[in-house]
Amino acid sequence: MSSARFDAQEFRSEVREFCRTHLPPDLAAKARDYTYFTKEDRVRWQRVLHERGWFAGHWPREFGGQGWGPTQRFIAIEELEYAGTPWLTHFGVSFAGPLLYSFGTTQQRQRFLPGILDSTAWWCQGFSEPSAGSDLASARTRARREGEYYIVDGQKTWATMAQWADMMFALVRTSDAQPKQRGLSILLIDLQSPGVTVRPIPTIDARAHVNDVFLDQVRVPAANLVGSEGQGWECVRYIVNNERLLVTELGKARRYFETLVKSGSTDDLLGRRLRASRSFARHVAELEVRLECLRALAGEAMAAAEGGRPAGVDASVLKIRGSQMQQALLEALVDALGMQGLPAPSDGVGHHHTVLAGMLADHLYARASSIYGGSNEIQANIIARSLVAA
Amino acid sequence: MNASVLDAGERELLRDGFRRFSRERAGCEVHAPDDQDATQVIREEWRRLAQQGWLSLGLPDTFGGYGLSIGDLGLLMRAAGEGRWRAPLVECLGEACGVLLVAPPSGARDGLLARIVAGEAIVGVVGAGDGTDNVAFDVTATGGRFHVTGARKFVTAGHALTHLLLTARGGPAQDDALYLLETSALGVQWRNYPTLDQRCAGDLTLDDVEAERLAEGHLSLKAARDRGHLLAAAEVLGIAQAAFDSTRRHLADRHQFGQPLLAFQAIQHRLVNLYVSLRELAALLEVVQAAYDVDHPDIERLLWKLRAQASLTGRQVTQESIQLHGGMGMTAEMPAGDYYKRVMQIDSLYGSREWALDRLAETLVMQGRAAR
Repeated sequence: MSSARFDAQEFRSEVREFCRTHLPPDLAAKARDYTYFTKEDRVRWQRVLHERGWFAGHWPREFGGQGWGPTQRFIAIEELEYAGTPWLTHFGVSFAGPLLYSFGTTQQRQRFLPGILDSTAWWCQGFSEPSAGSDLASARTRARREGEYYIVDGQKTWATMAQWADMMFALVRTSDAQPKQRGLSILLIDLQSPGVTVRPIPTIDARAHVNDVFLDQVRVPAANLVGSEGQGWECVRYIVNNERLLVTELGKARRYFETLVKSGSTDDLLGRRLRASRSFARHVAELEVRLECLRALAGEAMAAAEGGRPAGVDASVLKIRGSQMQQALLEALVDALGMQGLPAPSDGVGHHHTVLAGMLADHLYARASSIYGGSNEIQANIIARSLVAA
Repeated sequence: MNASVLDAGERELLRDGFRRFSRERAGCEVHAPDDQDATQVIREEWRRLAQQGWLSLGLPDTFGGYGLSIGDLGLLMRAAGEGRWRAPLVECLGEACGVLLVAPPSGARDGLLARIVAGEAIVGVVGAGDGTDNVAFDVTATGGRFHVTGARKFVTAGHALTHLLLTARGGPAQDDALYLLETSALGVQWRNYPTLDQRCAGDLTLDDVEAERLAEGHLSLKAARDRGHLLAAAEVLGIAQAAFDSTRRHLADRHQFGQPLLAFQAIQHRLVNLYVSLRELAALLEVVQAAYDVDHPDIERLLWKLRAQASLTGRQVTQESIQLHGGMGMTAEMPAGDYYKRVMQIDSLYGSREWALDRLAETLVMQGRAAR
């Protein structure tokens, strides 16, 4: 399938302009203050994008998308992040949706794709378990086939936005085949089913992100199996590949960087302009170089993806540097804006700077960017393996 | 000045007492910013510290203290860091005692120090942390009585404090002097809110508040800041040590890929980096505490070096602790996040590593000029 043709520069301007004109004022105000968006905010914005045809732009035309290639998709996401718009909840539009149009049956596509596209259905991912974090293949949640159903027992953890979700695509063990990856399958679970309990896990940033999902004898129609039994690990790898350019969060980094540069106009503890400090300026310069490298790395990875070349370890490199970039920027931002006392990161209680409360929450949550989506340690293992094998 | 007279056994006894205190204290969760319970909880913790006799650590025996060295007070601060205590020790035993100990002797000053030791007064200094000695308050004098007006944001501990010390300008001589006032006095207003490190702070407004003139002449609040961030550095060491210990335990317990995480050499080396960093901070703290006790001529730069190292080690160990705990490090339930947030707060109040390095760089240049 060939990518849609487009002019990169023009498209980038178009998306930027669209964000400026079509992001509702109340959401724009929240973006400026780094306030956490509600589910309603996100749904509203996703529908605005969908009306423009941009929400699932990377989907093939036959499934309601625009057939964007990796570069066009990357530019769209970068500009959306840069504008501070609500994060596109990827679990539906980037993971479950593509999973279904790549591996799913016609009925599954008819049932689930429309809800993903118009954001009437909210999805979450059920992969990690208490004993299976980095070692995901050790997942133990069992799905036992009984007639036209699977009976599912187990526990998923770190399920992002499960508190808002209608559906969960879950990695379950359907057999004891060895190696252990061979026993895994993907099931689509309706979270309203009896036996499902979603329990929030409070995190250090005081915002609601992740949850435990307890599954106690949950009956899931066999028709909700994605692909075939034992194809679960292949699906996981497919999702990881789809994610590979998303993990960079380049647009977010650019936005934080610009905020950092603007923060140079604040005063330090001795009443001097921050930007007059040579060490501040030098530190910003250092971050600028890192950002330039990140952009260049992403560009290379995009070109490889566009040319259909194997990703190699691109995703791992981008994940490591992307997460480190975010953490470094947010550390610099808190140092710059948070002198003489840090309030609790609750929204709406700004003090010295209106953005500080939201910025603090972002800073704390960013400590997880090197942990989620495959920790930086795992990414390092992946790169190391390729170096050793070469 | 005073050297420690505690031997190793006595120090261990103290540490046992601190650990017991940490275990016994109820979770002092400061949730609601204007909650009177928050004030009561902090004052109750303060009272229990007084009962143990610990508020007299590091104070000369003339004020009912043990006459011990600042290092012994450092032991208390390390325990406070590890135990995540909420008591405003840095504010009161640090900043307030810091300025009181350099203030000219007087009945009022001596009486206040004695009340601190007895646990009857929780005293904070307004505006010491920024090191500017900017005077933000005005004072009027009428018939021998003084009244202070002014405002200050983010006074840590807020309305849990019973007394405030501040520098105000005015009166018949239009001079700067140190004033003492009670937070229960008429005209004291607080806008309280929770802080990042689960304590509280308040934006203070003083409207013609009656105050006692505690010291004649301009008194730099530098002594307050110096003692404050020396205690805070000890607290950071306690935090970092506790974060390190819990990380090491987790790495031994957590199994992935059929092995404890600690079995992986890459993980071991990271732990080693943290260990070495901790050792540096611990050693430097000892040196600076000893220098403080004898009024060492180079104490100014030593304190900045300590700030730089405390910030470096503090952030490094607590950030790594979160990372090495994996997803669990991000949960509110684990102490890892609390440790990190307290380190962030101390950096915010006394200056980050970058800030300290800049101060050292400035004085380096000045030293060079003096030498020529």
